[in-house]
Amino acid sequence: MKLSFKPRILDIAAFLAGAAIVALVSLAIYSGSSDSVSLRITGDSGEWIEALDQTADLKVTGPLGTTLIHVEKGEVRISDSPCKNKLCIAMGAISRNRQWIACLPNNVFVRIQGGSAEDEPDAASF
Amino acid sequence: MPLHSDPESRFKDKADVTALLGAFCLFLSAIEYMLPKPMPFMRLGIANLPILLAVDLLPFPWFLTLALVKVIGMSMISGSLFSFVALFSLSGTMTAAVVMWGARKAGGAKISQIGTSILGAMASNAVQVVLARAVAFGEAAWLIAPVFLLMGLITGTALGVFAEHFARHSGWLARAAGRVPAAKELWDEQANPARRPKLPPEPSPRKITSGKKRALRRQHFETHFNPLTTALAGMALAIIFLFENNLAVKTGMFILFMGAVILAGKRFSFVMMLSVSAGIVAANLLVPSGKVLWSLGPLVITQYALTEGLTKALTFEGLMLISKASIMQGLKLPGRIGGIIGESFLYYDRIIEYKGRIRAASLSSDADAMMTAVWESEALGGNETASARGPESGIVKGSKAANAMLVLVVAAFGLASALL
Repeated sequence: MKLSFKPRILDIAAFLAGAAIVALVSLAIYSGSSDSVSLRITGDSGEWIEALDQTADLKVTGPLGTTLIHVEKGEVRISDSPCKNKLCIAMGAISRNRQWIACLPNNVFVRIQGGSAEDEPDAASF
Repeated sequence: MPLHSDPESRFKDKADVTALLGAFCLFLSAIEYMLPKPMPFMRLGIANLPILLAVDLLPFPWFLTLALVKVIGMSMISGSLFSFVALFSLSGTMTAAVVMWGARKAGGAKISQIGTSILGAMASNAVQVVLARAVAFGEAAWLIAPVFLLMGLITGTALGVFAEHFARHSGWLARAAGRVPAAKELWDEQANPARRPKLPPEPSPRKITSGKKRALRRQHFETHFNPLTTALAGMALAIIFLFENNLAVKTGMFILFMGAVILAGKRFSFVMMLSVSAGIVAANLLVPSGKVLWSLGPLVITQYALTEGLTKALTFEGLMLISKASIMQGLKLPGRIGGIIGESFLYYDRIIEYKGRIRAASLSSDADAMMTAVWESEALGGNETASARGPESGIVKGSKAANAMLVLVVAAFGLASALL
């Protein structure tokens, strides 16, 4: 069937706009998607993956008792733990990829994972 | 309802024109149903073609009515009226309709069916992706967004090109729009030589195609239950089911809904249900959350993501089941819309009975011939359809026991839902 049509100016505009939207959305979704970091918690009773963008108190049980992990505004810290030295609490808050805190006596390990490969050095000393 | 038998003056009856266009929407969606789909709940949009053409034909209130008739009619035929599928259909179609109308009116002479169709299709698909994010897929919905938008662009363009061609050459459209077609535009409708018919067989809503036992169950069901009360009960149960948080109760209701579909003698595909559910669960698992249950390399199955996925799949399929079980063939919706939907079904029957040839090579002229034939045959057979048009209360049919049972079932679940 021979189709007769004459595209008008806004037809072409609509098509180009549509193509541009498809391209932009593809770029946004398929390349930068690994920006989604998550929280990985390991303990005696298993492993958990949690979102950073929530406000929550997570409980992990270990040989000494329950360790409390507080997540808020993209930051994670251990807020309470049954260990003697409370070093884990003193480690403070983490918020970036590859950072970690842990309560070794209670066998709790908290790490931020995912995200892009660009890294800061884990530690630096001068 | 049209009293004149003259096809020309009937064009002034907007309700009648809307009904015919609605019937073509149903027809095109039956065809679309048979085409392979990448996603079961998101459509190609071929069925929006009559709506696209109607931008120049109908005043806005009737235009919106047409869109509604398409959505409700399609949902009734497929029995998905109370499910999320109908929600996708509603949001997609209404968005497309409004955007198309706006584009055409704002663009004026600078935009044709092509641009209108592109904008409508893309807007429709965008809305459906957002809905998929909320209802079924979670964050993973964004992953298919680009593909789906691209599909909208392509189908929108193709549809627009065809619509533009059809609009310029269709005799029926010219008459419906009040233009007297010039001699050059009109096709010689007798010039269709008899050839091998290419028209695919479509599922007629009234044909019972397979399974004698199922057919018997269905007939039995239809004598005892009446369409209106069954539909109302189904709607109530769907709402209770949707908002039920207790997973055990929800699963129980799901199993009962499955029983109801079997009792009603309706068809449902177990394979389809499993694959859709698997898709929803898989999409939800893509964003891990909760306790890690199992992991193999990059693949991780987490508890919260799993239960979310299972709950969403359960809800999605459960709504589909109760919808199928409770929407019966003879259902007549009340009000003016109900009347137009009823008329659309009548036109739809005529379309299916059309004996003319439709070939890909002359698709536009064959389609025009079909529209004209169906429009004119309806005018001639005006009397026989009168009984099917009026609002039917539907309360007379159906046994009292069945109706009482429906009320009991709804009350029981409502109570259980409130208490547990």
